Amino acid sequence: MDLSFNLECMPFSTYGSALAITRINQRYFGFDLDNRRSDGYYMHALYEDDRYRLLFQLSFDGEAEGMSDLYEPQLLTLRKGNDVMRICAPSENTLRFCGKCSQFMLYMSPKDIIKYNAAMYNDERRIALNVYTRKAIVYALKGSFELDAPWGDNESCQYIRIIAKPDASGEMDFVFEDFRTEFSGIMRDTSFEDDLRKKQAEFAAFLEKAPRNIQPRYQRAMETAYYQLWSAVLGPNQLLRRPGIMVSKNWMCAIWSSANMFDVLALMPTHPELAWEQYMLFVEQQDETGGMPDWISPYKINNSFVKPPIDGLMLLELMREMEIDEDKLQIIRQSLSRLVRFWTEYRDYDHDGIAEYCHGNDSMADNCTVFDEGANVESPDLSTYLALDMECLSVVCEKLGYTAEALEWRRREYELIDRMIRHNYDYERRRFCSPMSGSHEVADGDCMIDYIPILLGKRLPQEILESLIEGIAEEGRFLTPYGIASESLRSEKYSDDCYWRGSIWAPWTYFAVIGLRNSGREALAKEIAERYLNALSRSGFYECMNPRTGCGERDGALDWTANTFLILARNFFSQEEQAYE
Amino acid sequence: MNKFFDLNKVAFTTCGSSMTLTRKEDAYMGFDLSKKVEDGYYFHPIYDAEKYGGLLFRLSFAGSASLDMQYDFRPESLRLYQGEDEVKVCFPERNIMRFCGHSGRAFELKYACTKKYDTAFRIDDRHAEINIYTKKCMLYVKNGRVELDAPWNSHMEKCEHVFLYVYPDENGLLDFSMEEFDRGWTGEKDMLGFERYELDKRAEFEKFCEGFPKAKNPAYADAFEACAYIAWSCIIYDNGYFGDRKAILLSKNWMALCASWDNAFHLLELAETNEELAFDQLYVLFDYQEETGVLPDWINSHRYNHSYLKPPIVGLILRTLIRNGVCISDEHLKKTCAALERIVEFWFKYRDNDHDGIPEYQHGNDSGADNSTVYDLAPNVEAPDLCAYLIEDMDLLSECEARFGNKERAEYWKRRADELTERFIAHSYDAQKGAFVSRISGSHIFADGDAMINFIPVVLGKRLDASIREKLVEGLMQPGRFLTRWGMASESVASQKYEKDSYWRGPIWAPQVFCAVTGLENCGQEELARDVARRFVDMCMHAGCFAECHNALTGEGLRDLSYSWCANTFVYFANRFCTDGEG
Repeated sequence: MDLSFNLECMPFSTYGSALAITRINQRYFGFDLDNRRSDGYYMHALYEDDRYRLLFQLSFDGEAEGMSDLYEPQLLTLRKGNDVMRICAPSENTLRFCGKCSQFMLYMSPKDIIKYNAAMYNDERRIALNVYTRKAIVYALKGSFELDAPWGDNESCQYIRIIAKPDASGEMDFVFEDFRTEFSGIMRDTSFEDDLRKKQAEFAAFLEKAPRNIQPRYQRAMETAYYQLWSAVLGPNQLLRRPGIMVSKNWMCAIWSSANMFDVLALMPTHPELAWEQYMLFVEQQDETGGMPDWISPYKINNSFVKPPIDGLMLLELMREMEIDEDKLQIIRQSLSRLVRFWTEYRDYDHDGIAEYCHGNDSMADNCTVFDEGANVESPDLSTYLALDMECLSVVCEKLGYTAEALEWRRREYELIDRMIRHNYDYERRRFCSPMSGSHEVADGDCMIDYIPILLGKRLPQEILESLIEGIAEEGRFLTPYGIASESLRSEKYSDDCYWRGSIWAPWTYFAVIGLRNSGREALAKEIAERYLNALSRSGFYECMNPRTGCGERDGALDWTANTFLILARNFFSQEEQAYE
Repeated sequence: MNKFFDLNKVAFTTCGSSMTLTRKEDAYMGFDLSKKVEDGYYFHPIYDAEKYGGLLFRLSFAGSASLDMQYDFRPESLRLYQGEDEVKVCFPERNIMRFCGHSGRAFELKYACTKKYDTAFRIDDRHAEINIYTKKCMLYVKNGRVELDAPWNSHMEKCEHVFLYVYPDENGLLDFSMEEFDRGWTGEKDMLGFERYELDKRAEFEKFCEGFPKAKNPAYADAFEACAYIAWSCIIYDNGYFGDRKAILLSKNWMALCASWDNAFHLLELAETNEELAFDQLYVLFDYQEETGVLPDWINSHRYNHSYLKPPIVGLILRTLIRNGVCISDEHLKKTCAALERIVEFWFKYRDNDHDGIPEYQHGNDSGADNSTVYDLAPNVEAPDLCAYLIEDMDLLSECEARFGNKERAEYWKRRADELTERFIAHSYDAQKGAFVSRISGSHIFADGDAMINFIPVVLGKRLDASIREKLVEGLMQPGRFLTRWGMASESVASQKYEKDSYWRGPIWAPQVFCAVTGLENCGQEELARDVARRFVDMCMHAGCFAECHNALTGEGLRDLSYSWCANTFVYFANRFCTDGEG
């Protein structure tokens, strides 16, 4: 593997682990864009509120200035002058530091200390940490520690500085081990090189399964995408009963409903077991109403919101690529029909047969402009997703031999599409609109959410389909050199770096691409896919992207962005270039 | 009305529910004492982070201040009234709060300070849905109609505020419910009349009281009813980590969790009358015992926390009950001893970093006495209460093994207890000072101050040499030190470090008073024990509450004002020591 990554975007971690190292460079950390941190290298733990916290700053001498890094698969090398520290992650709860340097420091500053944080000097080779919410031990295999952590008057240390010192030969080798209750007392007896080789081999085995026919120009980014997804796995851990691909190991450390479907589609053909876990994580949490959690993490299953039911459309796409076995189809039939019932029974408060979101967060496009006048909006993407869920159910039932049920779903699909057109399509303006539930008023703005019905392709009347294609194909509106903007660049409500009020997002770009393809506009579909993949190859897999510059925005390593890269590359840019052409 | 049913102190709620109604007057909420909340009656759910700051809706009749309403608080229902207007509240189901009454004006529910994403919307005349991070509620009206004032702030993706107005129907009748749900609301469930639910609830509470101790002294009948209510209404079950067990939370104010020593105090109250429920309080935590033997610090419905530990006080409490003649079934003893053995071994294996055979706490939180003065220099302290509890645990194990006919194991634990007693006294008893000290692990120095924690070894009674025993009794009973009119202060009131409202640096705490009383009895000082216990009972009667802790000098309740271990200890003391007299 001849790969290196950008530590500012993608944290250094490993499969299963909740420990990560990140580099801050003129940037914020977390959701608060004003939360600027001093530049440097930080270790953080992805538990509970700790995920917003950078626990320990890593340095040779307390100064980040002059440090550099090289991030290769499973090996992070930090340097400053002649000092070198190599870091690997031998297991899901350890980081190992092996270096040649006069000292190395882990520092939790006074402002990062929260009440009850304590460090205890056990002996020169063992420091115990209880840094709410987790505990850890730092133990030396070579070299020793000094601890500078004066006890304060708030039942906490004032700050914690662990200083590792080399042995007589100038080397140090120590391990940070995080645990929930107690340190087992078992120290690593393998060499750093062995640990490293083992982890690199694990990733190599994962990458081995990648498709081999991707065009060479996307090869490197593809490998990076696989690395990001692999290293974003956490668990099983507490409430997370299966290994879950975190949306990110920066700070969005949970699995969001809907985002999981991108994992499923991206990985099912190559890594079916891991992919299916991402589906089952949510199926298992479906309640009697058919609703699913908003997100799942090791410490919480959140029900504050729901996410749009894109399962059907993603599974239909998957079935274009591969057969799904019967056991899984049965699960899909059960779960998806219940999910459809949730939306039709519990999310249609004005009883007009058109389901609604109760908050922008329900639509995954949190703050997009259609929610400017109120939280309850019957945006047309939702009915589109539901229609495709019904179609998916029809296909699945057909495959399983439930013919009558299949027909019924098909009937419901077309009924819903008709109703949606009558309800959401404004013939005068030649576009879909997003009316508020009840009042049916429409907010100002020009949001891509109204063009998501493109997914229905030829199921729509020609005239309507044309208006959607024209809208998406218009350069400088949603279509940009880098992908599909979430709000028209010409809209008064467009802003740079404003989440769903302009930025390019993977799901909507992806939906535009496959919608165009389904509408017989393969060339345009491929053109947009190419623009997006080229932009991602340059920027990395950020949460979203600036539509004017193509630069990444917000969280630097989001799973659905990497997933979308893999899906599009596989489907449109294999060397044979035969897909859908 | 029973004076202990004070809504400022005890939340109105019901068995199994996360929904509460509370009254705040010149009060704070949670751990930040400087953060006074606006006066009023509040709807307050206790899940998740909301338990601290989540005073959601302030309730009032339109045009009046919330506190213009008066209340009448019974276990089965709460009546809020102002002049001719009144509304009664009860729980048809544990997740449904029903409001029913009559009024000439609207009843208001106002939520002023919304957090990001908080929203509400009106579905029709009779329904409004509230999504207040992290839970949802449906407000639905049977008589009357609902109006909503919740201007949308698209920038913050939330409503500016959420004000609900429920208007009575043309006959002045008000009848509406709030139902808590997760994802989808499945429709009205409380189809019967309000009175029916009120009667059912009364019957449910009375049934619970049948398994609750009766006050031997009628002077305490009201207080006992309140203690029964506190236990019953703080139960939560079929909820996240609690599974099927009926877990009694410390409180439904904001300490809405089960902690790993508080739980044992329920035995004092319930072991005799409701053994299943009493031992379930142990098992709620034993269910989460790790391979190492360690228990969670605390659990609630959505979290079990391992950041700290709590002292292993189970042995002392069970031995005390057995000494008092309470029958404990073999089944529960066996199950408890199996867990207790592993707890004991845990302390020696994982909590003795300086390998001196004397385990240590690694933070004040581990000892339950979070900020006691013995932790002023460092967090890892070999406080003497810990060995005292462990010796009691070993003695219990020995006695139970003997009872089950395992002579060898009985001798083994007896020997362990004897050895530890000897080592512990050599280590922690400072003969020159004539007192136990709390040494820092490793350096073995100790902090200044005069903490009650150093007198907990009194529980060992006759295991101690007479000279040590006398010193402990003398220290405890010395006027102007720990002993006050109301019980035992956690820090000597004469200490320079004493503060009146400072958690474990002065206030009276039920578990320490229990240890002092039990210790005095174990030293053969029954009269002194009775005297101290009576002070504590008087304190609760005087304060009108069973608080997390109490001011050592005035007796007033501090912090969370309705707290299980204080109620447990009160019931135990009252029926053991205060059976005569006027109360």
